Formats: sequence, C-alpha cells, structure tokens
Amino acid sequence: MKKTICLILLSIIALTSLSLYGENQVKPLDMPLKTFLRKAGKICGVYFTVEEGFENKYPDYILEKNISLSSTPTNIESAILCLTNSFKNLTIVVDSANKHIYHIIDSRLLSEKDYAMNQVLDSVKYNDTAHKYVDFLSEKALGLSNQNVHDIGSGEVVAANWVTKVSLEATNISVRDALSDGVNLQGYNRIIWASSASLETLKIKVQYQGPKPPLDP
Amino acid sequence: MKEKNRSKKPIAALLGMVLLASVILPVGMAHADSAAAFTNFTLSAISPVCFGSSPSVTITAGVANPTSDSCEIVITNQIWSWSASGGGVCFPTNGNGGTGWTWSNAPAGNNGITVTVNVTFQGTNCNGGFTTNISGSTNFTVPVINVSLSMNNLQRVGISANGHDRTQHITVTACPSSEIGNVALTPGPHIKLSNFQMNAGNGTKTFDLVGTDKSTAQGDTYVTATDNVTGCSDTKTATVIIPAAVGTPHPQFYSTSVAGQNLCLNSTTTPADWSVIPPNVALVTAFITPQSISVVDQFGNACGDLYDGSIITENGNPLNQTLSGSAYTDNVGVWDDSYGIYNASDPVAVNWPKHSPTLIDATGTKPLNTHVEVDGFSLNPAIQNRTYSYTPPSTLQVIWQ
Repeated sequence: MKKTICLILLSIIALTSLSLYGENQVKPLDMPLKTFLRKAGKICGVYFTVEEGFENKYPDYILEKNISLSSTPTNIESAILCLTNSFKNLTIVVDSANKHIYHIIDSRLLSEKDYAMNQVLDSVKYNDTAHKYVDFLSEKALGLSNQNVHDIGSGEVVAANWVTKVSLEATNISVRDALSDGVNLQGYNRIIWASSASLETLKIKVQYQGPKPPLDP
Repeated sequence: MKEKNRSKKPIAALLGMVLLASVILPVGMAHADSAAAFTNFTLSAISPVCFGSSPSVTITAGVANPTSDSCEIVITNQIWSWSASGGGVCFPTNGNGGTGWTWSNAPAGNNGITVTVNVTFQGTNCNGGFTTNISGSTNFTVPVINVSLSMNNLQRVGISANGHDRTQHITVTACPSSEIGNVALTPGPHIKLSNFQMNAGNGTKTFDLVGTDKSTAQGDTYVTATDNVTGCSDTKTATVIIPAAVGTPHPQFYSTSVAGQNLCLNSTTTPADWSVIPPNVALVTAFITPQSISVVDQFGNACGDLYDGSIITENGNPLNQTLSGSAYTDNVGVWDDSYGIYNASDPVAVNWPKHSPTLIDATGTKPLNTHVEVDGFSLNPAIQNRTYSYTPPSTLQVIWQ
C-alpha cells in the first residue's frame, strides 16, 4: 500500500516537472539521478542504495547521470519505472529488514555469484562509525572496501564517514542489507550509500553518503 | 518727422518664466552727450529657476529725448551685454559671464545668480552730424533651486541577504538649503527607501536605499527627489542586481606536476570536509587546483563589489569562501581521507602537514558539477559540464565543456 502511494507521489513529481514545459516544447527537465532520488526519498519517506557496475576503466558515476523525466512522457506509472526506463539493467530490490530502503542494483552484478553484496553473513554485531563498518564487513565479504579517494568540487559531503553511527546485530543477513540496516538515518542523506564494482574484478568500493546537504530537496 | 525711440529689445534668455508684473529698477548709470537721457530698465518678473533649466527674463530700456529739444537723438544701434556671477557655496560652477551668455544650465547658489546687464544706445542727432553713446546698466538676481541626489544613473543596487546588509546611504541636497524641507522622495519598483534624516542646517536629507527584488531590465527603477514647491527635481535610475550565474570563460586546467598536500580539514576549513566538526580534523592528502569562478548578475555582467563578502555554498554546504571582485575560489581535484580524524591539537594532526604526501593510487575521471549559492542566491547555470581527471602521480585536468 505504502509502495503504491510512493509510486503515485513519484509520478506526481515527474508529471509536475513535465508540466513546466509546454506541449510543443521538447526540452525535458533533466536532473542528476542523485537529485531525483533525494526528492523521491523525501516525498515518499524512503531511502535508497545504489550499486553500479562498470566494464571499462572507470565507473560511469550513475548518480551524476541525468534522468530525463520526459523520457517517460505521459504514462509514467512510477518513479521506479522512470528509473528503469532511463537506466538499463537496473533491478530494484526492497530491503528485507527495512521496507523503506530500496536497493537500486546494476542487474549485471546480481548474476555474479562472487559479488560480495550478494553474500549472506551468518551474523553481524557492530556498533561504531560507518567508515569503520566497511572495514569491518570487508573481513567477512571479500572484495568490499571503502572508497577512500574522493573528489573535491562536487558540493557534496562525500568523504570518509567518521560521523554516522552504525549499530547492528543480525543473523543471516546479506552484505547489502547489512550495509543498509543499522545506519542512524536521522538527518541522513536519502541515498544511504553508493558503490561501484568492476564487472571484471568485482572489487567493490563503498561510499556512505553522509548527512544530507543543507539544501537537500 | 520726429521720432521717439522706444527701443525694445528682448533679451531672450534662458530659463524661464513669463511674467505677469514688471519691476522697475533704478538706472545704474548713464552717459549722454546730448540732452537725451537714458530711461529706466524694465524687467519682467523673476521667478526661481531649477538648476539646469533655462530662465527667461525680458529686459527693456530706451532713450528719452527732452521735449524741448528740437533736434532729438535718433537711435541707430543698441549694444547689449551681460554678465553673471553666483553659485555660492553649493556648487563649484559659478555663473558664466560675458557677452553671449545664454543662461542655459544655470548654476545654482544660495544666493542664486546675480546678473549685470549693460546697454549702450548709439544714435545721431537730427542733423546726422554726430554720433552719441548713451549707456546704462542694472543688475538683478535669479534664484536657482537645485535638488541633487548623490547617485549615478543606472546605480547598481543589491539585496540584503544572509546577514549581509547591502543598504546604500544616499543624500539629497537642496540648494538653497531652506528648500530641503520641501523635498520629497519617491522610489520606483524593486527598491525600498527608509531611515530619512533631514539636516536643515546644510540642506540635506539622508536616506537608505536597498533592493527588494531583482530588476528585470537594466535601469527599470529609479529614485526621484522633488521640491514640492518649485517642482525642481532630480531623478536617478537604478538596477537591482543579484548574483545569478557562473560567468564565462570557464577556467580550464591541465598540469602534470600538481603537488600533493597533507591537509587537516573540517567544516570550517578550505577546502572543507563538512562531515568533520571542530575541534576534530580529518587527515587528508589532496591533489587539487584552485579555480577562480566568476559570478555574473542576471544581465551577464560582473557583480562588481556589490556582493563582496557573500558566503559561497555548494548545495548549501559552505566552501568557507566569500565572493570577492565577483569571483570566488573553488578547489577542484581529489583527496584521500582515509587517514582518520583527530583532535586538531593532537600531535598526529599537528604533524600531518609536515609529512610527505602519499601518492593517490587511483586513476579517475568524473563529472564535477554542483549547485552554487551566493548568499543564498542560486546560480543558474551554476557549475555544469565540468569534468576532472586525475592520473597518478600528479596529473590533474579540469575541463569545462
């Protein structure tokens, strides 16, 4: 039910954005995926995680890619549909423990059995910062590591997250869910974390997105 | 046939008023070499004139022949001249004098303009046997009213925001100073006037001027100061500008020798690590270049110094930079911040900048776009189509497309 409401609201976002342009105008309202997810997250009261796979030397930085709301012109059923129409090979999975968390996953990674995010951990017991949490999980999930190199100039608080507290005690939990559950989401970014993984090596760099920007939509 | 000279020569002049009554001024002189005598000057009524406009006074004079003279003077030529002085304390420009003065752009003074008029009548007697000169002079004063705003036309006005007061203090001066009480101020759209303070002693009124919303065209607003008694006024146009966009040309950068730096950063430093709150600092190795980002107003012009000191934020996060000369510094590049956070006074943090930076072993290229706000005014476009790439050990490129 809540998901349905969310999808309706997300559709409203898209339609409202589209309405900024007249019928004869073709210029769509583009926005980076990260902005779209933050808006959608706020309206729907949900959070997202994003897992990106890349074939070439560098990630494609999907969060920086523009999502064109007019690409789903008059029949937008949901922002999820908008997402999957705008970006190929995306799979949306609802977190098993927190139904307010939506995992956006490059579908190509889901089929990789050695992809660490797909692993199920017997147990997790942790209470410390988010940055250390990745190091903690990397001992259980091979290929997982912190994204330690960040860019300066993006206007984002994308840095090693020494601030956000993670507290989790769980059993039989996937690495993906473990990274997501237990994060103190008070004042937190609507994108909990984002990761990039080489489709060749399946090495994963995880970046907790940190507190929401002051002008977060 | 005897002819009485009634020479009426209008002195056209300049500012003007047409007068209802005439004023008879005493003759200032005269020289006559016959029995004929210089008659009085007649001046039209003199009204105050606004600074910069043209007064108009009509002056007449003539020569009267004695009734007993059987051979009266016949005037054959009139030579008029005039000069002016005045200006007084208010304006450096005194009255222009000399023959041919046209009374345009009349200067103003507390005492107005003092005008001296001279005329010489040349004539012959009835026998035509000799020439005579009969002269006279007079003077009078034209009051000049000046209302003047201490503004330029197209004055650029800012909007107070983010705790930064962009009020401009303007003065309107009336001359003579006694007129200041009659001066009213009228604002156009987009601006607000307040805090009026009159100083009758020196004929000034000060007030505050600030923008309320941005102009949609240059010079689309104004301030008018009007002397409600004389109608003399001064109007200056204005434009309310805001920081509106990132300007061009964009700064491109390429270097193969960018030096790494070990920095201790937190939310108050430049660059900033907004997630780390003082007194803690994050230990960071950075390969960055400072880029000067220009900011223009809604008309594409530099903001000048109007918004100097504005807080620069990206997505609301402060860069801990301020706008200066319509530009700010944006550090661009990469950092490795995996070295932990420490109290700034911790020896590890204190000594961190002294260590040789470790190379960042990560090649990457990435879009580096962001919203930018200048004292809360969102720039559009902000930073877009900017990409950086970093290649170890020290190659950094920033490209704007």
